[in-house]
Amino acid sequence: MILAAAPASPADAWLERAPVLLRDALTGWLPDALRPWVAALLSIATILGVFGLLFAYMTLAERKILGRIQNRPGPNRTGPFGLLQPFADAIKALTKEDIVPRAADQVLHFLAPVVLVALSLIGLAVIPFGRNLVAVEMEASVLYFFAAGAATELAIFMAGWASRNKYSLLAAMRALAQLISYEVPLLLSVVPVIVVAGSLSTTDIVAAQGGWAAGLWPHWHALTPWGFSAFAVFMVAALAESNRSPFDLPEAESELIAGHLTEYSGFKYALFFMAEYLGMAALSAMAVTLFLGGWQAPLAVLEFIPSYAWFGVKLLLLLLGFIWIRATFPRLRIDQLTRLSWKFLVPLALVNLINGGVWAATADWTGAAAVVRWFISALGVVVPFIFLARSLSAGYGPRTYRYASP
Amino acid sequence: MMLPDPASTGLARVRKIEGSALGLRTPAFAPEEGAGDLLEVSLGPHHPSTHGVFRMDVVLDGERIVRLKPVFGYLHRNHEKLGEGTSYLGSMPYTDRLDYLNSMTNNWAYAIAVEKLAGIAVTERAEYIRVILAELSRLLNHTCLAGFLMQDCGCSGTPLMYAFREREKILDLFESLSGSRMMCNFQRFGGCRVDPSAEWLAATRKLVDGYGAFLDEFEALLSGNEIVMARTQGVGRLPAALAVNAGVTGPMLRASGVGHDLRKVDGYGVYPRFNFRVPIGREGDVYDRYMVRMLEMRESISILDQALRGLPGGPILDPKSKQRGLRPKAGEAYGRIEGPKGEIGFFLVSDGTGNPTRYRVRAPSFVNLTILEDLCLGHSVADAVIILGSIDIVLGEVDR
Amino acid sequence: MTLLLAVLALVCLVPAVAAVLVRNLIHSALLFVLAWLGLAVFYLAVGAEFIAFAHALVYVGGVSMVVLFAVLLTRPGRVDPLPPPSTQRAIGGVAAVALVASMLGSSIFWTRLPSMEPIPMVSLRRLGELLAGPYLVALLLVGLILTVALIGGLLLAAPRRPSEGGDA
Repeated sequence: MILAAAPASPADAWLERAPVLLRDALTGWLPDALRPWVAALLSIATILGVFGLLFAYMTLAERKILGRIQNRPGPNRTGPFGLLQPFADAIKALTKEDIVPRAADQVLHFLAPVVLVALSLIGLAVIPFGRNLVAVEMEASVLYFFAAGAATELAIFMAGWASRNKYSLLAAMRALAQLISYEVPLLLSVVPVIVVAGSLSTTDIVAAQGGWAAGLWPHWHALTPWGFSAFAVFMVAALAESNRSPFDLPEAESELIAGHLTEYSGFKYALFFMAEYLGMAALSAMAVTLFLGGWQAPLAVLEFIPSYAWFGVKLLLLLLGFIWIRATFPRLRIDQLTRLSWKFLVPLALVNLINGGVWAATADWTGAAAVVRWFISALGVVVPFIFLARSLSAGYGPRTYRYASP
Repeated sequence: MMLPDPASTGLARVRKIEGSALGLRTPAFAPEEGAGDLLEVSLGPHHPSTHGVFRMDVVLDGERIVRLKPVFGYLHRNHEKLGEGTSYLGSMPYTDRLDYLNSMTNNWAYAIAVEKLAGIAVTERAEYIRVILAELSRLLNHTCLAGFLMQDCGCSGTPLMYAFREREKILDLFESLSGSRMMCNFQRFGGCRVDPSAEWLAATRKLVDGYGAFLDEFEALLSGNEIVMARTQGVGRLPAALAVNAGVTGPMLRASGVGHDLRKVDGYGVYPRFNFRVPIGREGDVYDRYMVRMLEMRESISILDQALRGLPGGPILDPKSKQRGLRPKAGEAYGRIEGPKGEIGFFLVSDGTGNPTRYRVRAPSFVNLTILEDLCLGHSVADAVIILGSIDIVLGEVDR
Repeated sequence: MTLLLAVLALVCLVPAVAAVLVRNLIHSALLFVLAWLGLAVFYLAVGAEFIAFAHALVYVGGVSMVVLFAVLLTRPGRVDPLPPPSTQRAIGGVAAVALVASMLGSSIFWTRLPSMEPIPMVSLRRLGELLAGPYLVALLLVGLILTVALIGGLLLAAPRRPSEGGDA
């Protein structure tokens, strides 16, 4: 972690500096040579602990919220309000028999969940969770994040192929098709952010979103026309990347039983879920960093709340969005999924690339010119959206019905 | 009635399919030129979306279905043979188990067959009660179907839970009237078993008045949803000619544009006294099948409203009518009604003894299922699942 | 540092050799992915952060998928040819060894190793400016060649008879 000596008043608040002070207290007595290593281990342990707990309570929150949306209580037997449910689930998963099909490719069948969880975790290293709270500072951290996440579908493929089950194999093929389709819009939607912020570093990108226009309107990327478009494309692609409804094709329950998970049981099965939630959390954290101002407070008067709390709030809101979407939408078909990507998201993101470039080139426009700048940017989002959306939903529509003559 | 020209229909084709459906004659299958590696997948009998113990033997090219063989019989319980060894009244509870979502209409169809065979008249109040229960049953069936269809489309349970909430209300009514939620065993020859109380009628009135609001909510959430439309429109088209030739009935037939409804055609019971319309589709695809059912529910609400208002007094059963030890004169009768899934009929042959010598069920689920392969060919696995869902089968009735 | 490089070389070479030797095509594709990953770590070890991540993103994330897709969609040959005669195999072996030896030899013997002074680090911003400035034409040409190759591949792979519907 990097210690910044920013003299600004919010950064000096005791709560704001608490994590750093805690770390220094824990490592202060160590010899100088050991200190960075222990500090790094501490960051890793913190991330594992926080996101492990987040995963546990995300499963509970998902079941509770799904239950609420579906007029049922959800889990409420284990502990008050079912708060101990995740631990009961963990014990169940750990004590269940681990069955590996005899025909399965033993090595890959074992490796798949392990690789998946590992890959879902390492992306979290470059997320700035708060002021000065980033585990690894890198020049190309955005690129690192996507490089780390790119191979997750490879693990899903491994799981599906190694199971030697026809449903799993179909799921593996779907996972590959989905990855090839959605990696492209995901990356394209990030490029304008990098162009505008002028950096590949997550800390720089968050710093670039600091401040408020007229003291009210935060300089978050999602609050500009091009940024909103990029944010929307990013979130749709993130849904697909993390195999969440309505893009949960690899594990489509009503079609492929459980897809690539069909032949998994016990703790390996739980690992897949852990990877799904961690991946979802990592992508949401990246979305917060890239588009929602990272740890920045929405209003200057609210800066007394520590930065990591703001990050957490934004992250949880995005995760809530994921859950809500899952409760509401039917699933797409594989050809509709790829069509949505190639004929809608990719062109939209490409147009947005130019839009972001124009925005970056006109950064010094002020006054009336700023309004023109906003107008141009908005036009660059709305016009392609209307054109592309029209071609996408061509042929579908509500119908009117006749009645048989008596 | 808008039946297509019989000359333009391919009867031979239907016969071929029925052969393959029963697994008797599997047509010789050769992969077409240029196809990729084919994968044979057995969807079912334990699959989340086969609506019971049903199996689809599917041959896939990628995800495209090039052959589909429906395999059933896992739930066969000798229903028809049992009927021949049981008294007329004794078969009544067995009919509950055919389409276990709609025991009320099964009972009614069987009662009509026996009443025809034995020449029993039905009291007027009983006729009204039968209509009320049949339309409640239709609401229940179509609501469940819509929920299951959305579940097959990949909704994570939300529409299904909404549908089941309403289903519970109707089942509560059935339970308070007949003593059982699903296995009602309610109809008797010449009338029905229990006279509904004023409280029951009031509760029914309340449900009927509130059902339109539920349908509005459900349709607002789903009927215009982009993904639902993209998934269901143009999928699993059933041409009217094929539907008629295969003997498809019920909402499936009407979705294909054939306005055939036994409530209008036969005018059984007191249906001619009610004012209602028969919605028909144009494309015959999954979306039409869904929408026709949604519209039918609106008509059912209207029928229920009229029936509850016009419900006459009087006995529910002729006190002189004989239930036990019924021995109809030798002869045969076929009684049919418009069940929620299509034409449900019972064919009975009597030789003058206490048991029928022949007891045959015309099960709409079974007949409607025979065209499954025609609907699925060329579509993907994901489509096959929702096509099956839109056919509306209950395996208790298919396998008997 | 030397030890690290040696380990990395092993991480790259062992899966690469194994990929050629194993009979299961999926296994060899996955072993290739491992070799690519090793290469990415190698780039990271020598300080080329950007290249390392770009390599991982493109090869592990993208190319591997395409390779796996190709393996899955390719039908195995119906006829299993007899193993080639031993003389042919010997000639093939000698040719392969000679090729590898000449390539390795040329790169080892003909490359003038620079002094052991550390190479100045190029910042990411500078790299971007170089790519968008002096090397812009080269970058565009590479992009053009890849696009042409992609279209060519599509033309070769497209079925003669247009199939009806279905994207995948």
